[in-house]
Amino acid sequence: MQSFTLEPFPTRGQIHILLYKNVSNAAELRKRLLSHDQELSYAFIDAKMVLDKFQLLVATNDAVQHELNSSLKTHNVHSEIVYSLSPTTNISESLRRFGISDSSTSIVVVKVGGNSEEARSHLSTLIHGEECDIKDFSNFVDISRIKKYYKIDDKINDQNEMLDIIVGSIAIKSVS
Amino acid sequence: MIESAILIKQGAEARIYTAPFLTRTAIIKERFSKTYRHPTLDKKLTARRVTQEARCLFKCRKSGVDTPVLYFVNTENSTICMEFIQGMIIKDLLISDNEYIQNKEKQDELAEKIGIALAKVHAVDVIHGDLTTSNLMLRESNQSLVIIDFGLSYVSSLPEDKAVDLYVLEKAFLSTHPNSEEMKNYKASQGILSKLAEVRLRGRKRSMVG
Repeated sequence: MQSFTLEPFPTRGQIHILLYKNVSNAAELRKRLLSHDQELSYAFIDAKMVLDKFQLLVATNDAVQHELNSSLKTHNVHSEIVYSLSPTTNISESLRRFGISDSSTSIVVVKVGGNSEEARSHLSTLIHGEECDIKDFSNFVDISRIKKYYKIDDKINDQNEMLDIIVGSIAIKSVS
Repeated sequence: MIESAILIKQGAEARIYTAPFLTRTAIIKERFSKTYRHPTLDKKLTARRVTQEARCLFKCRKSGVDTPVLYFVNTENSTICMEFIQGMIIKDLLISDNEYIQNKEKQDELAEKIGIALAKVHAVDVIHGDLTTSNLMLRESNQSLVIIDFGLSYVSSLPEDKAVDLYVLEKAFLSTHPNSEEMKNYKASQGILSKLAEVRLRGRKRSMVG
């Protein structure tokens, strides 16, 4: 787990990012998310679609901005993070592509605000899996899927260059 | 606005700050309101320009031009956050770096980089609108040419607009860097270059007679 501050919105509290592998109950989590279970106030993201923590932070920053402007496109700030990660404005497609699916085994969790240890212990009761270091994103990422969904030119193979385009696609969404 | 932001430059349209941004360092460009304009009009114009700048910036980046990476657009307070480029401004390089003042080969190499970058920008129909040597940088890490400040950019496929863009750069070179006439390198379609000859004769503004 790692915690960050969003400099543009310092009063919203810290952003906590956690990574889990060998998760066995993704289907159950997804079902609870679909039924708007209030206990799950976290963003659950498929780790296949995450290249770097900066990608998550930029999307979270956008989501928090929408929350504070009361311009959320989805139900709450956490689902908005998943939506913000996507370069398209189609909500159900964004949640399907970037959120967890029934078969997900590696999951990234983003939590806005609250105490980090409380979030971690709460999550350990929710998720059946092992927590790992968020430096390990590269072990789970699916580059071909990232390229497809972010429409990145096939000639680009440098991960930093990819990240630049991903971050730009997320940022430009608010004005496209 | 980010609390720890440091003002580094103030222009007629915007203020430029640097600030920490989500584990990185960012440049924040804040367009301020013009009190001489009607508030409603001012708000609309500013919002549109922020949007336009962000779009052109990202469009170029995506098509392979080295420009600052777009981080965050906030139309509420008219700010754009983007990558902080570690490097030199071409204007300073040509004025104070002895290597560039004396070495003809270095100059040619730079001219080629500028030409290639501009050709890419124009290939996706983005007109920069303010091409001067102050808006070109050389990235320290890999000596790549970076185009900055898309504040006056717009999209157009007209050879006329592209030619005027080149003409503005040519004038900027001639006025800030005398004796740099030989630095030219831009592989464009014949249409744009013949238009450029036309623009050279009449100046940036179109004749509105008749």
